[in-house]
Amino acid sequence: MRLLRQILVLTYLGLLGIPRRKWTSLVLVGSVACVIGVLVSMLSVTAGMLRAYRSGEDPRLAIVLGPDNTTEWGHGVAASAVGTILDAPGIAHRADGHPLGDPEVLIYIASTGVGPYVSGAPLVRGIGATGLALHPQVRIIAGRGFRSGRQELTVGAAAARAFGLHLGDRVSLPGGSWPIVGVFADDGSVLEGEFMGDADTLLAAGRSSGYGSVLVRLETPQAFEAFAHWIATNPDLKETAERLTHYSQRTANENAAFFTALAYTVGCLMTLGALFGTVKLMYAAVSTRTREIATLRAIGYQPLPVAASVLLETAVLAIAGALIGVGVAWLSFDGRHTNQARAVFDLSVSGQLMLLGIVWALTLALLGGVPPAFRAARRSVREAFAA
Amino acid sequence: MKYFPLVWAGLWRKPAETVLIWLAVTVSFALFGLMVGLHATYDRMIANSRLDRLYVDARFANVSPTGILMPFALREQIARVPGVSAVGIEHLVRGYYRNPSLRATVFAVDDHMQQAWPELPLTPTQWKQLAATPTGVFITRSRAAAFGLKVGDRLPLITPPGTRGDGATSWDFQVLGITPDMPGHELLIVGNLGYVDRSMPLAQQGYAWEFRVAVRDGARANEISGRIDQALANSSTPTVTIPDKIAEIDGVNSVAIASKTWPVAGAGIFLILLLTANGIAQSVRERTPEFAVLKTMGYRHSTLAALVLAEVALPCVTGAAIGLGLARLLTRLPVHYLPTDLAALPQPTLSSAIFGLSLACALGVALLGTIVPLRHLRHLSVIDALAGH
Repeated sequence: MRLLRQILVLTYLGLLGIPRRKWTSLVLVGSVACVIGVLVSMLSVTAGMLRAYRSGEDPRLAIVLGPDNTTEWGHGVAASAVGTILDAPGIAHRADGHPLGDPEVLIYIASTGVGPYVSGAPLVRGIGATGLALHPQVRIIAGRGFRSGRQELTVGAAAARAFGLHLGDRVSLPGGSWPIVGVFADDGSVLEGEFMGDADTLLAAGRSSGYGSVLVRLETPQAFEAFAHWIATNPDLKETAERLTHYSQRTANENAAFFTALAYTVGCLMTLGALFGTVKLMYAAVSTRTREIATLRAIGYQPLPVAASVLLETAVLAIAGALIGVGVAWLSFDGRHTNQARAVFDLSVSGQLMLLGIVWALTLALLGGVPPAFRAARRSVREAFAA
Repeated sequence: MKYFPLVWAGLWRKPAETVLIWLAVTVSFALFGLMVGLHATYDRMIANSRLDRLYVDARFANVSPTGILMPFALREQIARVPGVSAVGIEHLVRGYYRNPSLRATVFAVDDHMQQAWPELPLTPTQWKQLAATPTGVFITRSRAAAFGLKVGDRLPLITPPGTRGDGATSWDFQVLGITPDMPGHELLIVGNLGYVDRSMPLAQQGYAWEFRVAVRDGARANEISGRIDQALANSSTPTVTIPDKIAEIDGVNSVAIASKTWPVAGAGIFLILLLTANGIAQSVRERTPEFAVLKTMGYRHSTLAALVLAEVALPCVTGAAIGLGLARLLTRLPVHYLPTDLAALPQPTLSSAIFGLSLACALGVALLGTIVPLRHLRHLSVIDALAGH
């Protein structure tokens, strides 16, 4: 109890002295703000990607992927397998008795052919008649939905914005140019960065068969185990089932892996620089307080509370820096549109990311505060007064 | 030079703090070097690309399991588009040499490529040699060094089953010669299209991966690209034609880091500016009586300013130089020591210009950092300072 009181008194005294050491303290706050600002800004790509992929997720959704394929790309799910998959136990049914499941196909096109050449194009997602029931958040915000059997598309709001596409534009696709008949929103999910059209019409126009995946909605989230087991053990099927939440998170992490690795590499290098700086600054702060600390030690304060108070002061300054860094990153990047790794999404400085920035800064403060804290605590009273 | 002991003593007044600042400077400049070097690489990629070269790709290469590929015959149709001077055919063989970490791609080209892509580092004699030797390949100096190959060596390339028509998994290439490095294509391997095409499964023979087109007037590149696509729009294989320079600019802009190299480098420099400015200001304040003595002895303000500046500049400049050296070492690390997720990052260019820029930045930091302490020194009242006020 006495120790705790001593720590509090010493920390209070230390913080009271900050105005006298304002430049040293400001420099510490500023350097931590630089590090955390850069780290959080760069990680906003990853956080935004994760948010877009997981947005609007329903724990009852499951995705069935083709043989030897961990993605929804390709044409590995044969039309004949789709019927078998939809017979699996646990799938919810519509009022008319039709199972809530639908094959989807994802197609990459090099350019939309609308206007002058721009880098890339939205992905084209082919879905079937039941498809929209599986994406309940999809809302048409302009025009109308595409019709089955017709060569027409709807475009996600984010894709329309990123690639300058409008209602009525004609997109160059196999079999001719397909008109955009509607614009849809999907609560900011990754679907909003894609085109949507009729799966079978797309496959026919591309002279192709075979879907990329089958999306199903189960009766309950718990039904997944039995469903996956049934798919895995059915001798007619080589497909594998995965929870959509799991698949989305995995895909987002894979797509963002490059940016994540880069952000942490740059962040670690900057942190190392700031760490040396923190040690230096706190050494300076402690040395200007030599007499004050010696006096307190002389009237009976223990070394441990002295060390703890130095650490606490470093932590307070680092948190102030982290808050500034996070704040600047949030103001400049949160919600900004971007178009990367074949996905259109908004950068995000999420609560989790803010927390990461603060914890990162605290770790930096504790690592950087330990040597000065030791020096402050170990210096003998006699030596300190002599200095 | 005679003042050097003074500067030196000033630096080592508080050794721990000096070493810490120096370490912070070194690390920050290593990051600065990597970021600015990365920026230079992206700039060079764009500068090396040309407007008078076009790529023609299948527009719907991914809509079916085999894709809608471009038959060789399209070459003649593209060559007839006004403004086109040459069309070369290219096919790729992707595989590895000896073990899966030694990945390599053979660019198999036809002899029109000599006109369509004259930047390829082959001499006219070597082009004739390539046409005459089906299994022959030319490799760049860097590639030869990476694989330890010399002229006359065999280069067996292992590819996935189904790549070759005869069912073999290895392509038995032979090194005909070693060419100078080509900027942007340092690891190039050029092979013979006829041989590669004949060795593939029958159903896949006669298709191009890509056409490369040279146009007479780079200013008309966009218009000619549009014409090629228009001419083939209603064919069985619609195409998408992109000028090399536009593809390169798009490619660079689509990488999130490309636009962030300067802000990151700047944040690192700002961090050490804060640190050094604070360090020297404090040091000068603490040594006010010492400077007062020097002034009394007749040292002019300019001499004192030079002393203070030298004391800041010394750790900044040496830290920057060593930091840049570290950055250079990091870029020389073989790729497999890097995190695999970063393998797509191009190698930062650490030219002497960037070295110069970094040293200039270090000097700039030193200059900015000494403004406040020098003002303090200029207004120093010798009498008060000596009296200890």
